[in-house]
Order: sequence, then structure tokens, then C-alpha cells
Amino acid sequence: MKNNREFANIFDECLERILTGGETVEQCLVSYPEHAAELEPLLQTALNAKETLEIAPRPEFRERARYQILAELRDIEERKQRRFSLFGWQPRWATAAIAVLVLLVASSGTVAAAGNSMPDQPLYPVKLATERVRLVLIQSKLGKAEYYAELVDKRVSEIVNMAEKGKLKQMEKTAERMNNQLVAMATLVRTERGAPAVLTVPPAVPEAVPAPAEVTREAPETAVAPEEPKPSVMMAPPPPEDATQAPPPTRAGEPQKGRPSITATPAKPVPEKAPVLAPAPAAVPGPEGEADEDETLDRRARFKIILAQNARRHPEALRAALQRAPELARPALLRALETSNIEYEKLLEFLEELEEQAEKDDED
Amino acid sequence: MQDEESLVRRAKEHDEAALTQLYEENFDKIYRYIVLKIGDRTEAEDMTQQVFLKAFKAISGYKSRGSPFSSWLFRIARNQVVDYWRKKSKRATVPLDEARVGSSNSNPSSEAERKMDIENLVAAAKRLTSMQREVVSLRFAGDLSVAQVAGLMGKSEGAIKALQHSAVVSLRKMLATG
Repeated sequence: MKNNREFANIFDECLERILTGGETVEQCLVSYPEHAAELEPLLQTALNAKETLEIAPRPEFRERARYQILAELRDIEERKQRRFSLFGWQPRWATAAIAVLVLLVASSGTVAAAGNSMPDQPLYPVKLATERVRLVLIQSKLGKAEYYAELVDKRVSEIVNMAEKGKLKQMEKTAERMNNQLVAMATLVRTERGAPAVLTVPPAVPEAVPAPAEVTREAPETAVAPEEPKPSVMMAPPPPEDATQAPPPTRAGEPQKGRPSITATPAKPVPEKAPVLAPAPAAVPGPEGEADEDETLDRRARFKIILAQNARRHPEALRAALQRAPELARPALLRALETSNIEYEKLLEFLEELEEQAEKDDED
Repeated sequence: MQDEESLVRRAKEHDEAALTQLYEENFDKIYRYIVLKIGDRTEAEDMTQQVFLKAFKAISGYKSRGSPFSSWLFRIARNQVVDYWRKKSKRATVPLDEARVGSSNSNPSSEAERKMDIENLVAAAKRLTSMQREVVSLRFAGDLSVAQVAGLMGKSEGAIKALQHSAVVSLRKMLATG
């Protein structure tokens, strides 16, 4: 028994010298020549077992698990803090309260103050609720799509802001909202009555084409950038003869066929300037029921330009944030960038398909 | 130890860099320990994540008492493994040949050999006594010292050395005979 204990000690000592001291098996055996024959195979077995156990979890799991753990801890901390916050509202409750507030006191200071709030601020639920109420109040699909474009613009600004602050949970939630709003916008564009008209912008005249239209043709610089927006989206063929798709202007002062309609109408002011991104083009829905088809056409053309601009600006802003963001923020930011790229690309592809269809209809 | 104390102090204040460092330093060790204890890669990943989530949630109450932080993590992992076996129902297990091998520059044939070794080793470890298996898991998979294993298992260092020796003797016999 004593010998066994002594041997177990020697075995462990050799193991430690090899594992932590960097010695070889042979060096250790020299220290205990009388036990060398017995020690050697056992040390080899132990070292083989140790080497065999050098397995690792999947790197992607390891990374994801770390992100999830830290996000959950952050969430717990925020919930603790919110308990003491005056504005720790639940979104549904906030929605109902703000609906009443917006309808009855449209110029409420709280709503106005919430307009520029960020996802980590107490008034942010008020901002979201206000947006939902505004969406409900807009009746036309084009108006809603325009407003969604504005919202996506805000979301990108918020994502960038949260990435810079290292607020990963909020950034991820905002990215999810952005994704949903992009999808909602795309659905509205697809189902909007007379959607092909969105594409039937009169052919561009070089000197009259506004700067943003040229910018959209610039190729994004990095590998994660979306495909270059197709020039055909911005420089659509002449409107089809079909009056239901693109009724020709009939009154003086209205955009003439062959001229880009964007030049005929000044941009309306953006009600809330995005804090991080450059000011977006106007995307404000006009009063419902305006029913002037030429104006509607003009709005569609404007909307199309906004879309093409956003398809360039949003990935650019997200990529810039990616370079400045802390390491932990990168996975969520990359996902937001990917979502933005994919959704805009799909939307622009859809618009191009519609345009091609319109061209075919023209030829027929 | 001084460095770890300061790291843990920062982690207790929810310093994400400190939490990340503790995670990075210990995740693979805990994972290997759990793999050897349960023989299921997917479960081991999820359980390792749970170990760290539990640990970090409770870190404000952590007291070192002279032991390294990893000892506390292994204590949580041991409890997690005990719970796993207690609750285990008819869940299918993922064969270990799907487990990732740590070295990234190994060629396919040596990787195949190593995968076979892992399977054999897990199978052999299952035939050890529970004490021997625990010592092998903590020493060879978890990279703990004899003193740490002794502290975790509530035994003397001499007893752990004896268990380690007898476990390796048994493993050698089993691996030699297949």
C-alpha cells in the first residue's frame, strides 16, 4: 500500500513536470530509473488521454453563446434599472396611452421630445408608439411605404448610435425592427395599386437629373456591399401607354413626358432629422385623399429615389459603424448590415422586374 | 492570483471585458470536462453555456476562499452534470465522431485517428469507477491541479493522486484490449 502511494506520488510528480514544466518523459524517467519500466507506459497513456481530450466546441457556438450570455446579463441589468425608472413602460400600454395622447393632444411636448429619443432612453417606447399611431392614420399603401422608408432611416441611425455606445441588446432589437419595417415596406410596394407606375419615371435628361440619382449608381466599396443598384431603376423607360399605369400629364405646369418628374416638385421637409445619417430626402406622405394622379406619380418617383438612396446610404452607415464599434457589437452589426443589403437588393430587384414587365407590356 | 482577484472584482461589477476574459479562459476546459462526463457534444455545448450563464448571474455573490475562479465554475458544472443524469430521459445523443478536434492544422487522417481515440477514451472512461472518472475528467479534460481536484471532491491530495494512478492503470488496460 505504501509502495502504491509512493508510486502514485512519483507518477503525479512526473506528470506535472511534463505538463507544466515542459520536461519530456525521458527526462522524468531518468529521475526514477527504478520505476522507469512501470512509469513510462502510464505516462504515455496519461499524455495520450490528455492530448485526445484537446477537443473544442464549435467556434460559432462559442461566439454565439458568449454573445447571448452577455446580452442576457445586460438585459437583467436594464430590467433592474427600469424598475426604478419613471418611464419603465410596456410597449402595449405605451401604445394605448400614446394613441390617446396623439389624437387628443397632437402637439404634446412628450411626444415631440420622444421623437429624437434613442433605444436606450426612457422615452423611446413613446417614440415607437407614436410611429405606430401615425402608421394607422396613413391610409394609402404608398403613404405607408414612404413612412416605412422614413422609419427604416431612423432605425439605421439608432443602430449606429447603439453600436457606438456598445448597447448590444438594444442594437439587436432595433436591427430586428429595421428588418421588419423593410419587409413591411417591400410588401406595400409590391401590393400597392398601380405599382408599376413607381417604375415609369420618364427617361432622365442628363442636365435635369438630380444629384442623388447619380450617387445611386456608385458601386459600394466593400465585399459585403449590395449589388450596384441597377441604373434602370433610376432611369426607367418612358411610361407605358396604358393610362392605368402611368397617366400622362394633362395640365400646364405638370411634369412633361421626357422630363424626370423629380425636378418638377420640391422636396418636402423631413419632420425628424436622422441624428447620425445625412438628412434623408423627403418622404412625407401628403394628406390622404389628395387623389391627384400626377402628384401621386410624382410621389412615387420621389419614393423610388429615396429607396435607391437608402440602399446606398444605409449599408454605408452600418459599415462605418462596424469599423468604430467595439468587438462585441460586430456580430449584431454584421447581421443588420446583411439584412439591409438583402432587403434592399430584393426590393430593387423587384422594382427592376416590374420595370421589365412594363417594358414588355409597352412592346406588346 | 492577484490578477484573477482584480479580474473577478471587475466581473462582479458587470465589466464586460472582465466577464469575457473569464469566459475565454475557462469555456473550453468546462466544455471538455462535460463532454467526457456525458459523451454528447451538443448537450455539452448547451450545458457549458448554462454553466457560464448561472455563474455570471450569481457572480456578485462569489467568494474566492483561496480557490481559483475556475474551481467555482467546475463546481457549477459538476452540479449541472448531476442534474443532467438525473433528468435525462430518452434524448438521442450525438456521436462523438462529430466532435471538433482542437488542433486546426491536423491532417484528415490523424484527425480521424484522434476522433477514434476520443470515442475509445470516452467508452473506457465510462468503465472507470465514478471517482476515477471524476478525477480523469477534472485533471485531463479540465486541466485542474491535484490540489484543485482535491478541493472540489472534498478529498486529500494523496487520495486524488491514488485515484489518478489507478484510473490511468485501468485506462491503459482497457485501451490496450479495445
